[in-house]
Amino acid sequence: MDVFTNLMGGFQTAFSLQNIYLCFIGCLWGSMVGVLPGIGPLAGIALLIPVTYGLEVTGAIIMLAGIYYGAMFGGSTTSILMNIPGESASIVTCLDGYQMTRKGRAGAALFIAAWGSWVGGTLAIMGIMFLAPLLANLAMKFGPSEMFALLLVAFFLLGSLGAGPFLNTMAMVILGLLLGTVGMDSLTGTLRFTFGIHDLYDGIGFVPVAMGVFGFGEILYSTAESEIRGVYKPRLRELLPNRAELRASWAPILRGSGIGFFIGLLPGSAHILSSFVSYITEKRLAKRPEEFGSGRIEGVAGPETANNAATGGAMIPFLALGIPTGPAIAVMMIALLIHGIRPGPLFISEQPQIFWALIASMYIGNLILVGLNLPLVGLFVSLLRIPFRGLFPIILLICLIGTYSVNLSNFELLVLLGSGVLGYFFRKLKYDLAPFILALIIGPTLEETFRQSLMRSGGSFSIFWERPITLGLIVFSLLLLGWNIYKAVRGNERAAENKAR
Amino acid sequence: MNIDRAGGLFFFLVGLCFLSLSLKLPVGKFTQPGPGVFPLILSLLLAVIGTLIFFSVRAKGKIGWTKDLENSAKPLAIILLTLAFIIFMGPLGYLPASFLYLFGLFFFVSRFKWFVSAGVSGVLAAGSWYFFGKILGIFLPLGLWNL
Repeated sequence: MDVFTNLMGGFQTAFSLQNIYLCFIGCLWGSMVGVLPGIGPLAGIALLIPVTYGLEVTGAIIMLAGIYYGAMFGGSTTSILMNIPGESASIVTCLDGYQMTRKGRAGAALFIAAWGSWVGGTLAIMGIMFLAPLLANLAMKFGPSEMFALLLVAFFLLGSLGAGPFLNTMAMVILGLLLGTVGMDSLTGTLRFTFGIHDLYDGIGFVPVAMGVFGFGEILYSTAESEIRGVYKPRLRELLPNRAELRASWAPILRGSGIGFFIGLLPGSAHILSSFVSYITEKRLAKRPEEFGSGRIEGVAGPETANNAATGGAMIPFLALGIPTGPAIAVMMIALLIHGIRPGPLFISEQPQIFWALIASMYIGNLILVGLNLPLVGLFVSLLRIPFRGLFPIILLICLIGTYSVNLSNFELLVLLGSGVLGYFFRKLKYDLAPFILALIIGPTLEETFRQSLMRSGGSFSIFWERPITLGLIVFSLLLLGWNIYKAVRGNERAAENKAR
Repeated sequence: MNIDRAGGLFFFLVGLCFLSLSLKLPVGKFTQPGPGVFPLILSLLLAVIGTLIFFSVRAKGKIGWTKDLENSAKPLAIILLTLAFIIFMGPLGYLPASFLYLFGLFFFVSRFKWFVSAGVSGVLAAGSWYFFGKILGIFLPLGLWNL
């Protein structure tokens, strides 16, 4: 009952004219960045951080969350119409979505993608509503040792679910953790790796690094590959699916909601993973799996639902534990920190009005997205006609102003540039960048909790196995580490066998 | 050396660098771990992982420096223009610096005609100055000429 009373309170806040407007702007901008290949939700959120400075915090988080789930919603449009995934989570949608377009069923594919996204998104919000407060209550009992063990699990999960080999992902994680140690030590006040540069006393800024690695680095990488393809522009009356398509979609949509929501809880590339798992599940369950890839509606319904449900799932560890599970969420966390709000176990109990207004706004936002994405599909498609070479200078300038506006610091612009170059080279080397940025953000907490645990136990490491939750989490993280090492060794053996053949 | 090994070498060298710097920080005791413990462990781990990456990837192939340099012409131009923007934004002021920066990007990198580049850059520089500086109230450098 409490949940519904709180939700009603949330709706009261979210239904203010300003918050509805901000939710609409977030969803619209999110759909646009989702449609445009090369600008994902992360860059979309990062670019609008300066815009939130003048807003009160509830409005700011409502708008930023709107961009996050709006980008997932919009990502399917280009996959279906052009065979270009607007967002990496929509890669799978290309397989059957584009084939449907070639068969003249683009409208139906877009409709089912939007419908599935709405169902998946809405069910996931219900999940957040019930699970996040429970998890936050549980986390209130956490001491530093439990928090340390939980973060350790998050890092090893990142290692297993990262896009590249385990060693490469772990290298990125450790590099992020190391850079997170730069600045003044929070427990002793000692300066570390600052080289007398005052701008580094507070550590390396997350905003310039995130914007640099993802926004700037992405542009450096993409400048060589701008390409304009033919775009199919469906008419509104072509959008309705037929009865057979509707019948074939409902089960994949329900399954996709469950798959996406639970995979979304895991750190790493949950959106991509959820859409792949959903696609594989649908293919396995299909009577004629060989038809997948030739324009099956299930191949659009399942993955598109799953990646939207994953956005909801990913909000739970973020809001309840303060652990961002993906780079876009991490940038959202940065924005909240700038506004003086720290997501985590105390967030829901101390700032219930913000939490419930956000939940309510997500229900509203999901409806706005259905209303936006279907009728405006023609407009979004027109955006794709703007050549990338005309777009990237604007994005670069906004990245620079966005970074500069945080602390009015030229040094942070240099950090942005340096991070962009680093991001460019890591992309060339095919290293996954998400673990790096997540480690940079969570790193200081990991170190703090590790040292606080030892201080509390008087220097005894037994604190990590005497408390049951800590022990359970440490055992789980060790199992994950063992599994990853086993996978890496097996991979090397297989490569050697293949070479011998 | 191929590109995979170059990645391993990079991590090894960064690990080594941080390790040498970490050794100068106080390590403390088990009861009171110092600020040097965490960086020390991490830098050691990074150097080890870098070494493992270096030796676990195949040694065949070479980095195609010439081809890579050719492909990197546009990114290099963007990096240099951005560096110039960062350096000159203070003395020139935001408005002229952003105009020159955008013009450089549109004309030299995107290869638009000069009058198109100049027109679009002018509109965008003025528009961004008005939106961020006037509407959002972000302080943007005025430069020596108070522009």
